[in-house]
Amino acid sequence: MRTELALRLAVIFVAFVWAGFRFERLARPLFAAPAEARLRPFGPRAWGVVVNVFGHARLLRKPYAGLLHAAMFFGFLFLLTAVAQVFGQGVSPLFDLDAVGGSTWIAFGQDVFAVLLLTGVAMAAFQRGVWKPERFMGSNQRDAAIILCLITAVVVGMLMQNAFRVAGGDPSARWRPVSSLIAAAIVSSGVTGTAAAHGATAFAWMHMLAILAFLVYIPGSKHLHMLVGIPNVYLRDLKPAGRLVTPDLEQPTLGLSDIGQLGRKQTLDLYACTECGRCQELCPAFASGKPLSPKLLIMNLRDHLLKTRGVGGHRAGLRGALIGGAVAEETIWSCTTCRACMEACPLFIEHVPKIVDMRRHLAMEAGRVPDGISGAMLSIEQRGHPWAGTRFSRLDWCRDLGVRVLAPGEATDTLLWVGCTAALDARAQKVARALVRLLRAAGADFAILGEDEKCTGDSARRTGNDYLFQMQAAANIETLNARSFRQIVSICPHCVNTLKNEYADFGGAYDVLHHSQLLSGLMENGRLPGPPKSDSAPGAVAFHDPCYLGRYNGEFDAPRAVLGGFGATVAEMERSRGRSFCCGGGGGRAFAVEPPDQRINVIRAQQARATGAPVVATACPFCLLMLDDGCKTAARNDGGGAPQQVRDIAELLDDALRGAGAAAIS
Amino acid sequence: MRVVVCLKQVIDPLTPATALVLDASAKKIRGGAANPPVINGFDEQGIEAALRLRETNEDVEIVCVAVGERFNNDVMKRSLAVGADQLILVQDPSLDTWNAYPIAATLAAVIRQIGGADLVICGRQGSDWDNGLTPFILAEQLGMPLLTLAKRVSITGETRIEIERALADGSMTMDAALPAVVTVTSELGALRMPSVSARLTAARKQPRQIALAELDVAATPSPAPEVVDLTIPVTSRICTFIEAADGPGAGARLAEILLQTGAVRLGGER
Repeated sequence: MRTELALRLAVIFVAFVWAGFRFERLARPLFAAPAEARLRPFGPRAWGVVVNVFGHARLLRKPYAGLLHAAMFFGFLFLLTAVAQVFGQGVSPLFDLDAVGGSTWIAFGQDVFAVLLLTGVAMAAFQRGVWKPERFMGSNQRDAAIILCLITAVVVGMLMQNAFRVAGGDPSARWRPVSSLIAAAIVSSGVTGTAAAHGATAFAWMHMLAILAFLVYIPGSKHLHMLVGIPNVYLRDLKPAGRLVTPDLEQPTLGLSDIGQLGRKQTLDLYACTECGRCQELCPAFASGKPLSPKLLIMNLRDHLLKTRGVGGHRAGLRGALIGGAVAEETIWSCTTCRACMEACPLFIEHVPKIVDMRRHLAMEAGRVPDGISGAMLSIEQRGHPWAGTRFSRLDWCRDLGVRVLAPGEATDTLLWVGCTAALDARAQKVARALVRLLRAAGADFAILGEDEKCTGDSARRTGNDYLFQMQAAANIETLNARSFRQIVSICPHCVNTLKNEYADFGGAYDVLHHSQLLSGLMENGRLPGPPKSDSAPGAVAFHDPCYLGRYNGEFDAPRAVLGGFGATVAEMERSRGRSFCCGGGGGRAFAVEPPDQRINVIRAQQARATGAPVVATACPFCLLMLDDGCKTAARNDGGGAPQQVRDIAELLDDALRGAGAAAIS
Repeated sequence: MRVVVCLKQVIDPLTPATALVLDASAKKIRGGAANPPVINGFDEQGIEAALRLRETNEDVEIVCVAVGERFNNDVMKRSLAVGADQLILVQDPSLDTWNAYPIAATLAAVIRQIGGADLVICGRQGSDWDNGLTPFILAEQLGMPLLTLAKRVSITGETRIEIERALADGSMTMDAALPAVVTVTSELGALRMPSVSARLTAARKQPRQIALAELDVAATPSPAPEVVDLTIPVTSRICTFIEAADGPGAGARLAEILLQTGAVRLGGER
């Protein structure tokens, strides 16, 4: 008895020291990282933990995986009582939890949750071993298998320990239905009394050793999320989704080129990743065959961090190894910043800010930006718009419409922020023209900035050129602040996002609406007349949610309300609303050179085609151009046939109000 | 070693035609207030060639020289941001001219005034008038050999220059003793992006201004060529939808319209 106790203490000591070293290796870079101010406000942060950790809100979007996780999560929580018992008794035989129900309701709960936990393990094993969803591609399957085995060992150890105790006459028998069942089998095989007591001791050892093995194993495993998951959810970003952190351009290094520059929460993200692949599954870059998986990005950053900083702790000689080593430049440029990954991540890992941060290094320090993107950025710098080579100047689209141009000092109710694409691209100009007709029909007082409007800098910021973005922001804010208006309305969700969420950092606070919001409001309060009675119903329209309208700014209903308002039926694509699949044009990718076999817009067009609707509606000029192009290719790939028409919601509404005949001469 | 890169500030070649303003009396074209000028693209490639030389040779000093009527300093300072050591501007109303002679003579005078150059790099031509004469006159005035249309420039043995010339059906390697004048062409590659720290440093630097009167500029031979007339071509589009029952009908109707409008003529007619 004495030697066994000493052995037990020695094993526990060794395991704790071993685990301590392994945890310390993780903690060192974490605490060396600069902390972001993310501890407050407590209320909303804690509520997010309740909803997303205890409520499994995001996990349950996949019912099977969500349920198996819930079974294991709540099972684990309850079996912490068994952990307390086995270690308490391991250190002192006098320890028990009887005062709080250790041999009554806790005993009962342990039996029930053990079964629940084992069910979860079985479901997980089935998912990993038989079902094998594609999202696990690239995840560490061996790690997952080891974890499932260790959990099984812990639970089986506990159940058997209790069963042998019951067989030896433990009074908690009537509270332990499952253990009693196993005990009956043990007794019927002739094991009772001292033999049963020995059995209980043996399984107590198994129980304890499995827990200790788990403890030692966790620091090198994806299962680390059980410790850092809660803090990671608590420390999640509460800023508006569309607001990136503004860097100080005077600091000596710009952007992320060394893993040691990652902030503390950004580092914690790397430890939190469970390799579940929900991000990878929704990533349009991954789907199109580009060398980016948000999951692998996080895993590679984590491995790089531990390789370079966990072991030696010296940064010398390791600089620059991040980009081009752990993460390829091509990977960094593949992202459309569509945010599908971040929206899906159950643990609120922030993929996009890390990618943009690495782009900042490439754009502002290394000067290595892919051709198409660098040309567009140079054009923004030289001409105030990215569409180098356009044959239009900013007022050409509305020369015959006589739209009022707001001069400095003048006032209007609604400032129409046209955006570069709607002003300078022949196809997108039709959207601006349609919107002007609608605003006039509604009797709105509106004006535009004309030649004084410059690119908001969204593409510049998202391709890492924050210098250019900040120049654009300063120039536009000066222009805007010299005029008075009640609200800004834009056709472009990227402009809306930047004006609404990002200019605040530079002294520009405005009421900003997307045209879908304005139009749905005008329809609701009757300022836009109902569509004229016509014989042909508008029919089915597939609606593509622009990322910067939906995921970034939470507006899914207004464009659908506009479509529904004139009688169209919205044919929902499989990937819609929060799970919408990017057109491929975000994050500066509208200007990038896309390899023909990796076109995201074609994939999206095929998804739209699958609805069978003759018209694809969208509410963003980038989406409009990308899908217009994609639908033609999709139709050709589909063996010919007419491509779907791609229209902005404003064009469709304008058509409906003017009657179909007027549509041809827009 | 001093490398002088000659720069010209031009109307942005991508300015849409609707934004161009024709000053008929002065026979000049302006880009309009909303369309700032740019550094001539071929000259930017000249800067890139000089920067590449500095990567492979020690002690390369890059001096950019521009002469013209009036400069937009923010635009011209891009040369400093990417790494030029000095930017020299000569601004004078008389330098707003179509005539390459006074321009080349002024450039030559600047180069002499700063103590000469080991290598002078020019873009193959200006994107505004496309005359392409300045480098020739400049080489003449400086008494240096001229090597044109380089897509690669390298210095061999510190005293000679070697270029690879871009030709339509291949390339040609040429070599000359320094000092020399080289023109570069677009095959050389675009000017690199400056880092933000370099931009911020460049923003604080000021170009060196030299007054035309301070320079010893050679006299321009006369008579000089003269611009007689200048117009902006008017382009318009007329879109007609052809209504026809079927493909052959539409084709026949298209042929009729093309004949009627004179867009095509039947064989033999002139």
